[in-house]
Order: sequence, then C-alpha cells, then structure tokens
Amino acid sequence: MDVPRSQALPGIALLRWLCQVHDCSPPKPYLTTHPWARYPVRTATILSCLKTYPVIRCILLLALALILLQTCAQAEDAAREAFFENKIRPLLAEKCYACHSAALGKSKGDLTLDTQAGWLQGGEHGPAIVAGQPEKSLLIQAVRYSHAELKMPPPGKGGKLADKEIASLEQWVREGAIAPKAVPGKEPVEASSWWAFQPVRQHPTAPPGMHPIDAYLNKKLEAKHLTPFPQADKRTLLRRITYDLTGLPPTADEMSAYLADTSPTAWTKVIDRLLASPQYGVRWGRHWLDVVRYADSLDERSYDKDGDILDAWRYRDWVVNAFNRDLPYDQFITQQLAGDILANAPGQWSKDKLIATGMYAIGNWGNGDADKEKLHTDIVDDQVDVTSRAFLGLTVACARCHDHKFDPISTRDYYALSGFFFSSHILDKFQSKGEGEKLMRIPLLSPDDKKRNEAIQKRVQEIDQQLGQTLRPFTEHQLHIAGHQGLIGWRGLGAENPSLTMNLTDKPITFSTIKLQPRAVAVHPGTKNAATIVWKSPLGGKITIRAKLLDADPNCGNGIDWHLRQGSQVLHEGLMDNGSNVVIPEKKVTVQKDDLILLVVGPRGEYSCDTTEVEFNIQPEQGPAFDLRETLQKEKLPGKTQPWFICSGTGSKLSHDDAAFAKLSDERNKLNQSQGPTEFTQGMMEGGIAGTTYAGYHDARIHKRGSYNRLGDVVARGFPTAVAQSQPASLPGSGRLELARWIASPANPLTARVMVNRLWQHHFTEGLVRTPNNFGKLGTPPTHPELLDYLAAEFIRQGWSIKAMHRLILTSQAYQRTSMVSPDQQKALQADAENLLLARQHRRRLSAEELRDTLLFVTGELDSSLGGKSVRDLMSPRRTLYVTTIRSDRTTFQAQFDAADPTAIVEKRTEATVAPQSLWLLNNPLVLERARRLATLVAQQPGTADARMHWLTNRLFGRPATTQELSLVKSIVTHADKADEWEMLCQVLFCSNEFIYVD
Amino acid sequence: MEWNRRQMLASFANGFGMLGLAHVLGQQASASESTITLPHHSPKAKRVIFLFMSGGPSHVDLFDPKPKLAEYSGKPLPFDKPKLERTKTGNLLPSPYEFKKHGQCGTEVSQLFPEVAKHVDDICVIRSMVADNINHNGACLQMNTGEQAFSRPSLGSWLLYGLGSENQNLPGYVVISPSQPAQGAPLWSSSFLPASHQGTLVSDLNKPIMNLSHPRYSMEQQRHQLDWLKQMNEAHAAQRADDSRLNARIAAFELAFRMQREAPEAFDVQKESKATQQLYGLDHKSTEIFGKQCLMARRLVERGVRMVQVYHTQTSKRSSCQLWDQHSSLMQELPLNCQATDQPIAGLLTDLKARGLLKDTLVIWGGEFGRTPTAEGKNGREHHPFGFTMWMAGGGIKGGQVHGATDDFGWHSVKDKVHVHDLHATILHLMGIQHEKLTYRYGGRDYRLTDVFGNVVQQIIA
Repeated sequence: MDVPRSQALPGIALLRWLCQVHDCSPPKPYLTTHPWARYPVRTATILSCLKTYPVIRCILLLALALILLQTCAQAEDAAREAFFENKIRPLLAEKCYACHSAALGKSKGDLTLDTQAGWLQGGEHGPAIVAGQPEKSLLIQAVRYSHAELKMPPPGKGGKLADKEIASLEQWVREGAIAPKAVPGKEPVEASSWWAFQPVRQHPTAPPGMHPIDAYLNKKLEAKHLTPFPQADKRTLLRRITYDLTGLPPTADEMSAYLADTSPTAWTKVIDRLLASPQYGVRWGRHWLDVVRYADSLDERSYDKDGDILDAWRYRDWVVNAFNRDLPYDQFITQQLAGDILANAPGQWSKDKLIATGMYAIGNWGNGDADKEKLHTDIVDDQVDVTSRAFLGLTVACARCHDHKFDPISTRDYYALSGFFFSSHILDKFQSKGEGEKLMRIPLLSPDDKKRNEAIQKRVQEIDQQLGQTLRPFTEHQLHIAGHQGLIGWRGLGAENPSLTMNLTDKPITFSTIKLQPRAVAVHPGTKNAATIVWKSPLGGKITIRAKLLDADPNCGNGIDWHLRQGSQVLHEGLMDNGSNVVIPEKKVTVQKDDLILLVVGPRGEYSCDTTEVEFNIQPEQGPAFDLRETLQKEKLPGKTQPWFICSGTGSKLSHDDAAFAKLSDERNKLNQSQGPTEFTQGMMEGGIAGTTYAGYHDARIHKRGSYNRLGDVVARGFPTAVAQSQPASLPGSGRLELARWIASPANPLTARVMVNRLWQHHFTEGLVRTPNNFGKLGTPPTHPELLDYLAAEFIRQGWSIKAMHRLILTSQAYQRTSMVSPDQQKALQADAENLLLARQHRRRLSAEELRDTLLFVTGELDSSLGGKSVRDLMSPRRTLYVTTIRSDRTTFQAQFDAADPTAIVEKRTEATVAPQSLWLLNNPLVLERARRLATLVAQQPGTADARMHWLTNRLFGRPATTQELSLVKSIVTHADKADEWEMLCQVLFCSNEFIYVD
Repeated sequence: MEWNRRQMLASFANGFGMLGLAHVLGQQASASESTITLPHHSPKAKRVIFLFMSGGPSHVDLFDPKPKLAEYSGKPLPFDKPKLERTKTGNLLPSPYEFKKHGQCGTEVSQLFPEVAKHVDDICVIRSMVADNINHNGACLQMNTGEQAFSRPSLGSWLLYGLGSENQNLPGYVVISPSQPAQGAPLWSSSFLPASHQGTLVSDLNKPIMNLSHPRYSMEQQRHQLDWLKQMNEAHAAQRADDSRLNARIAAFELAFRMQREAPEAFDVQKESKATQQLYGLDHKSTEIFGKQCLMARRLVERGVRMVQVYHTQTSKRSSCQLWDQHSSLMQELPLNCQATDQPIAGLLTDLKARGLLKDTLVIWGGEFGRTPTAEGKNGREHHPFGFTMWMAGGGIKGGQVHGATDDFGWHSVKDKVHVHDLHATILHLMGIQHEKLTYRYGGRDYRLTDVFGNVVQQIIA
C-alpha cells in the first residue's frame, strides 16, 4: 500500500526520505490498524536509523514532534471519517446515488454525490455543500424541503428523509463534511508517474563505434534472442530513401551512379543530396499538413469565394519551405502558434511569421452555425485540440465537457488553455445568424509598408479634398455594362465611383443587386466623394427646380446624404434611407447666366452600393424646360450634354479650365498606382473576436458539460497542470507567445518526444509510440523508451534541427535493414510478428501523393515546381500536394488512396486495400494516359523488346527485368515497336504490387 | 502475423468495405480489443433506406395538421419564441393544404401526399422530432452523424462498421444524390472509422460508379491484363510470403474485375419491367429523377447493400443543395417537391412490400428539421428544429400510428419527444445493435453514434 505524495504528512515524508537516502531497509506495509500503518514506514526502521546515524538525530526529533502534533488532529479526523462511513455514506448510497452518482455516466442536474469533488463542485445550481455551514448548503436545504425549488429526494422517489437522517447530514456538514480520502469513484491521477510527463532522461550512451540507434535497438533484440536482419541491397536502399525523403522514385541515372559509388560515403552523399532537394519539403511538409487538418478549401459550394480559406496555400508553402530550410522545430512551433506576436515585435516583422499562424485559420468547425456562441466555443475547441495533439501528443479536447477519463487532464486544464484562444481571433467578427463566417484576411504589409501606405493615403486624401472643392465632369464612358445591351456608364478618370449609369432601353435592367427603371439615369457616389449633377445656367431669370431621388439598390447600402444648391447656397438638404425615395420640394430661384445649380448625391456610409436614380428638371419662366433625363438619353456621351454636367466633387466651380486640377489628378493617379495590390493571408491575431464578450484578453469560464449556457468558475490561462512545472507569472496580451514558448521549451517533456516520434514514424512506418497524437494512457507506450529519450535529447542538443535527425536515423543500420523475410527466418518473424523490435524494416505502400506523382514522374511529365495556389485538375502535371483538397469532398483520388482526411487531425494514414482503388488503376483516364505516354517512350528506345523491357523495369522498379518478365513480354508484345501492346503492359506494371510497395 | 481488429478491417476490406465487426469477430473469436458480439440482439431490420428531404420539409403543411393556425391566422405566436431564432419570423401562417384521415388507422396526411397517404397503415409518423441546430450544415450533420460541428462517422458508416455488407461486390453504403446536399461528404463520412466504411456517392444517375469500365479495352483484353498482373504479382509475393497485404491486393484486383461485371447491373434501373418503372413514376418527367433514385435504392438493398440514402436534391425544374428550403415561394415549391416524390415513395413502399422486403427494410423519411408555423415574408417559413415530423415504415416499425405531438401551433415538441439521438438509438436497435455498445476508440476516448445520449423509442417498435 502506497500513499499518494500529497497525502503523506510532512513529518512522515521527512522520515521516509531520510530512510531512503540512507538505504535503510525498504519500506513495507505495517500490519496493524494503527494510524501509522497508513504510511509505509516501520517503527523499527526509524529506530535503526536513529542508532545508525546519530548525526541526524536532531532532525528526527523535530520530525517526531511534528508527527505527534499531526496525530492528534488525525485522531479527530478518523472519528469523523468513521461517522461518514457508518452514517453518511450508506444514507447517500441508499437515497441519492440512484440519480447522483458518477457511476451512472450522466447524473441528474450534473450533481454527483459519491466524491468530495462532486459535492464541493456541485451541479447546475452550484456547490451542494459548503463545509461547516449547513444553512448555506443546498443539499441541506433540499433535504429539509426548505428550498424553493429543490426538494430531495423528490416526492416521487422516496420522498423526504427521516428527521434523524437529516440531523446526521446536518452534523456531518457542520463538522466540515469530512470524507475519507479513498472515496471510490475517482482514481487518483498519476500525473507524476506517467512516463510521458517525466523529463527526458539521459540514458547510457552507445559503445564507441556503434550507432546509438542500433545500440538501443539491438539491446532489446538480444534480450529476445533475435538477430537483426541483414542490410538491404543497394537498389532497394536507394528506392527506399528516395521515396522516404522526396516522395519520388530515383531516376535510372541516380541508380547507376549510386551502384557505381563504392566509397564509404556513398550513403551519406545520397542523404545529403536528397535532403538538399526542394522535393524533400513537398514530402515532409505533407506529413505535417496531415496533422494540422490541411485543406485548400472548405466547401465545394463556396470554393474560392469570399469566406473560404483563400490563403491556405500560403500556409502550405510556409510549411514546405520551413522543412526545406530546416527551420528549427522550436521556431516552427512558436511561429505557428504566435507568429503574429513575433512579427509585431520591433524590427521582427516578416511575412512568414504572419503566414505561419494559418495553421489556425484552416480550422475545422461547423461554419454556418446560427448559434454564434456555440460556434465560438467550437472554434476554440478546434484550436485547443490541434495545439494539444499536434505539438504535445495530448488529447486535451476530451476534457471540454468533463475531466479526462484516462489522463490527468481536467476540465480546468482545458479552459485554462482555451483562454489563450478566446483571447485571440481568426474572424474579424461574427456574421449574422443566417450567414457563414468569413475568415479574417490579414494584409501582408510590414510596418514600413504600412507607414508608406498611410503617407500615400494621407496625400491622396489631401488631394481628394482639394479636388473636392472643384467639380470635375465625368470623362470616361463604358457601353454595355455587365453585358447588358443599352446599359451605359460614365465616370471620372481612374476611379470606380462616383459614377453614372443610364438605361437606354424601355425595359427595366437588373444587374448585380441593382434594378434600373426604363430610361433611368442614376448616379453613384464614391465612398468618400459625392456625385454632383450640375446645371450651368445658359440664361438669366427665374427658374423652377424640380428633382426626385430613388434608391435603385434597395438590398444594400444605407442610403445617401443629398443637398440642392445654387452656387454655394443650400436650397434644400436631407438624408435618404436605403430602399426609399425623396421628392425634393419644388424651388423657385432667380439665376444669372453661368450660375450653377447643383444636386449633390453624397455617401451616407462607406458603401459601394448606393446607386440612386435621379430626375432633375429646370423650368425657366420662358422657353422649354431643361430635363436631365431627356438630354442625357439623347446625347449619351459625357462632354456633350451642356448645360448638364455630371461631376465628382462638391465644389462650386467647374474644373474644365483649372490647370491645377490636372496636375493634382495626375499626382493622385500615380500615388494610387505606386501602392500596388495588397497581398493577404489568413491566420490568428491578438484579442478575442470583436463584438463578443471575449473581445480583448480574458480568462475563460468553465463551460459545464461543454455548454456555454452553464458557466462555472473562471480559470486563469495556463498550461496543463499535469505536464507543466510552473504556470506563467504574467501574460502580456493573449499569452499565446508564452504558451508557445512553454511548448517549444527543452524542458517540456512531451514536445521533443512527440516530434522525434513523428520523424521516426515516417522512416519506419510506425512510431516508437504507435499513437503519435496520444502519449496519454490510451496511447501505446514506447517500444523503446530509452531510444525515444535519446532521440529527444539529441533533437534538442542539435538545435531542434529536423534534418539532423534525418541524418541520425538514416545512417543507422536499423533503417537500412531488409524488409524481406526468407523462409528460414519464419521463426524470427513469429517471435515479433508486428515488428515492434525492428529486427527488419517495414514494407510500405506508396501514399496517394507518391502514387500519382510517380505515374507522372516515370512518363517525364511531372512538374516539380513548388508553391502557389492549388490546381483543381487532377490531370495537371503538378505534384499531388498542389492538387486542390476540398474539405467536404471525399470522392477524390486522394481520399480513395487513403490520403489524410482533411476534417481530422491525422497522426497516421489508414491503409485500406479496396477494389475501387483497383478500378481506378484499371480505368481512370489519368492512368490510361500515363500508360499511353510511357508506351510511346518505350517504343522510342533503341534495341530489342528485351532491352526495352529492361529500360522499363529500371525506370519503374529500379532494376533490370527478370527472365520471367522477359518471357512475359514475348507473349504480349508481338513487335517491339507496337506501342499499343506496350501500353497494355505498362498499365499492368502500374497496377503491380512492386510499383506501389517499397521494400 | 497477428492482426488486431482495426488492421483486419483496414487491410482485408477488399470490396467497398463489406467486412463488418460481426464478420471479423466471427473469424477471430478471441478478439481482445472487444468483448461484444454483433448483432447484439436479433435484428428486426436488415437494411435501411433513408429518404432525405434536404432543406427541411414543412411539417405543418405535410404530416402535422394544426387547425389552431387557421384560428390564429395572421396573429403572433401566443408565447415567446425560443432565444435561438435564425431570423425574426412574422405571424402565424396556417397551412393552405387540406388534411384528411387515411387508412384503417386514420392518420392525417396533407393533400400534397395523396399516394404516400395510401400507405399510412404501414407508417409510423413521428410528430415530436427535436434537433439542436438551426442551420442546414449543422442540422444535416447532426441528423447523419449525431454531431453538429465536428467530423464524426455517419449512421451508415456505423452500420457498416458494425454489421458489414451482405454483398461483397457492391458498396455497402450508397448515397444517391444528383446534387450535393448541404456540405456534402461529411454527411456520409466514415470519419475516424476505416475509410472503407464511408458512403459511396452516386451523383450521376446514368453513370453511377466511377472508373467502372475502360473506354477502349474489352473485358477480354482486361482479363488478359489481369492474368499478366497476377503472374507478376505472384512472383513478387513469392519472395515476400509473410506479407498478407500483397495477396489482399491481388484479390482486390480480381474483385474489381467481378464488380465491373456485376455493379452496372445492380444500378441499372432499365433492367426493371415497364410496370415497375411506372410504379416509381419513371414515365413522368416530374417524378422521373426521384423515381430512379428510389428504384435504384430498392435494387441495391435487394442485393444486400446495408444502407442506401436517397437525397432529394433535384427535380425536373430545380437542382439545389436544399430543395425543401422554402423561405419563400412555399406555396409554389412545396407542391412541386411533393409531387416529385409522392409517387416514387409510394411506389417504393408498394414494391418493397410486394417483394417481401418491407418487413426487414427500414424506410425513413424526413429532413434535417421542419419549418416555422410562423411566416417568413408572405409565403415562406424559416428553419425549425424545435418540433418537426419524420416517419418510418417497415423493418420492425409498428405502422398505422402517430407517435408524439407538437403543441397546438406546431412549434414545440411537447409529447413523447424524439431527439435525433433517440432516432439514431432506435435505428441501431432495429438493426440489432445496442447503441451504447457500438463504440470506437479514437483520440483518447470511446466514441459512439449517440455520444452520451439516446434512448430507444420502444413505442414505435412492433
């Protein structure tokens, strides 16, 4: 019987420590009922220690004194525990556990009464018991039937307790609601003893001259009396390593060069060559993308539209690039988790760091949920889940609703982590209930760029203001807008708006969200600048002004701000609401020749959908009326419509002959051009989502049973307590950078182990821990814990260099062993069927990406360029990494061949062998076309059918043809030049097991 | 080589995932990972046809008559609406459609379903359905997987995982949907279950399965290819005798070849008699598409496919991921949707019964939610998960009854509520599975279709 450390009394602990340090006899259980018997220290042992080590007698005396004091208190506790056992527990069990027991799985009102934690934490109504205060305890109020709602046990379920029973409960609560430590129902967590939470240990080093990996592996093999398998032949090795590092087969030239190289460095040369290849990042970046649920698009329906993960590809390229440049893994973590914070530090800005947080933008949560509060918790859940599984190999998300059942991860730990993410955002805001969310797009502008752009904008604004003083008539015109016959538009130079549109037909025209009535003339203000209709009086005398405004785009915008002027004198003014119209009261004024009458249609908000129909009519006392519509419909072109001028700006002077205007206008255009288009990325930024209760930086409350409707205690942001040695002292901002640094620290027991295990896994098919995302209790423990620790320590020592770890692993004998089991090795095979001890290598199947890439590679078609937006066409020659993955689409080639499911955090791909894969290889156009092309290449080779078959197997399998294959060719190919016969054979080779399995 | 359950399922599932847990456990009595045996009890249903009206059909216009709506027409709902409203709806909108009692049982059905109404004695109408999500994506996901936001295995995948398929030459779980419903594949995903348990999508009714034939080679030519392949693979495998995956792959090619022969036939509704085609409405433009889908479903379940999900996503006039989503044009679109599906569904029920298949084929009808009894605009209804109707027939269902009820206005489910989790628990129960015992360990916990919820609705079981 051992006692968890926390329960050992200090005095006893001191004694135990002393005895252990001084190698007294090992502690054994003491077989009496004496309270001391709870502690595994024998009185005799203590006495013998006293005799043997007189120098520490003083300390022991002090310890004994401590024990005496504690024993008195303990006797009292023992009596109370007995009271609990005799009176309270049977009562609770009989009357309460039918509804309130953790053993039920779900308990009424979320209250469990079989553990102390259960009643102290309480249920939906709060703590059931306040120790020492029966009056304040809900449980007592409920059993007394004095609570307004809670009457327990309910009348239908046994009814009110006997007075004596109630009195016992009252006494128990008054005396502190003591419960023995060992109330069943909850096993004590074993955080301190779980292997993965122990610091990475230094283990005995390898004997000199022996590769450390082989030393560790061989030790275990020897213990089982197993002999390591021999090294694979050179052809097999080159094919294996080339696929492993680049996802592609070796070329025939590379093969012959390697075969010819008999130097002792031949192998390391190959390693260096492949690690230096950019194709390495394509293969190894993909391994990481599996873990972070990478997709290029969320949904077929919103593919490449606003709201999609439009910039996911930048993150994908960042990952590929990080592997290629061997970005140290600690920085790899920190940049993904807190790149935005790093980038904002003075002098630290780089695009890359902002892009790295894309890991969180590509999250998987139910976009389109109307319940935005639930959605918010789902977004954070995705973030906690991917962070903990990808970096730490921990399944923290299990604790969203209740404490983890198997690992020492509590709901408090979960909400401590979730606070970091509630204090960060990947959305600018939530959309309305009926709409899907739109991921935030972050401009990739450095502080200098921003400063420069701001300066430009400021100057542009100044110019606009100056230009705004003048009225600039529109000069440009466009016919058939949006493809509509009879829809024309005018605008000023270089700006979309203000503008004018005109329907020249007798039918309404609908385009975008706009509907223009027959023969309508409409203007559109700019976001900051008005559209003004000017009448330059050709006469002097009295005139009557009539005007109407009508919103032609009622679905969008928020109305306009208008006024009518004579020169600078305002005649009428007002606001028009979106979707409405205004009849401007008739106005009679007297004008001089060349006076300006202006109808100014200005923006009321910064909308780009304020199209407004205008009617404007000026009736002189004598002579015909001037009608805007009539004139414009007749003349159609700007510059010909005098006395009407459609202008931008709100000034009082037409700018035709204003030389300063041209200069300013020119400067403005040049400034605008100098900015160039801004690039965006999607990722995470500091501060909770605007408009929610989390805007800013906040610790999260516990969501009882995962529901935002049942909030519990606030939990300070922090690290999982079972793993973390200490909690952050202070958290600037969201604290994500502190979280990242804690994860990426050499002291973190999980981080390095989890990553070296992933690297190992992709070289040996299986990790040393075969559940790479789960180093907890439900995972499998490492087959070689010492080796795992050695690799983790080495990883840290080598500055978290991933390429250094490749070199270490690839130079081991273990990696180079054969995967072939000869008949005389059957016994060895049976001794370790699952190959846990790695006496041999694993044979592996090509991944979906490798299969397709190889098909294109062997026909010489593969486009090996890196990066950029994904391509949707499977027939494209790009590497499969760059073929679009839509998260909702599981009918793709990639899915069929077991590529990672982009809705999941994939630690290891499944390997199903199913008939639809065979059908794909037998009938899919991509394969058929490759067979045709390869056959064409075969037919171009010189020599006999035999020679061509050698060429073919060298190209596909890295070896010459066998005699059996040569005779097969003879039976198929009637003439060496007949491409269609070769074509049938090429396809058979594509289908063969040798093509898709790597020994 | 020793195999655990997962490896077996992953590696030997040669067809479209025909091996279920039942099969594997049968072969490996000492499976240490699990002590369960499947089915857990004798099943009442062997296969499922789930007719999914994507978009949310309006219960108060179809199966849940509410005379009070006429009485309160144009008046506000006389109690507070729930906190979670998608958009503000207006006042109560009575159904313009007439309800009549049908069959021996007298179940009331709207005039929009005259043919389905003839089958009410075989149908149990559940008027007290409840779901949790108010938008299509979340609600469709919940109806199919039990979860609203994250990736989980679908009902069909769980069935296939638990029971396997009875035909090794056909996919065990087929989804027939001419247009993508809601977010698509997550609705029939196997998620963390082995990939071979995911639904196989048939979207092109004329070309149901991809890569099923070579554009140029004859079957004889392909046979030659397979013979050469076999020679090569056997030589390769001879030196690698320990690796059973290699033989599994050789077998997969042979199976693929057999499927090339058999699968087209299974999906080919032209093989049916004229009379049968007419029964499903294949002779009318308006009913042809859904009729084909239903007839295909029958041909598949007849051949041992475990679950067929038939999404109504296309009519002769419209194609939509949410065909039954009448925010407006309710009185135009709803009759068209009903007309497009009424004859095919009735035909399916008639045909299944005539062939003796109905007794162990569970037919389910419904969408992801219902629609508000209040008006959206003048001629529309909003999404409504708080109380709506689904129905089930065949496969152990006690027909000729109405189960549960909504309140007088069709708003809240008030009597014998059936949550989506309860529906799932009941479906699994009918298939011989105890929903609490069919679990899969993933990412640190044991998952099941019903999460920590679900009660079997005993009253609807015969």
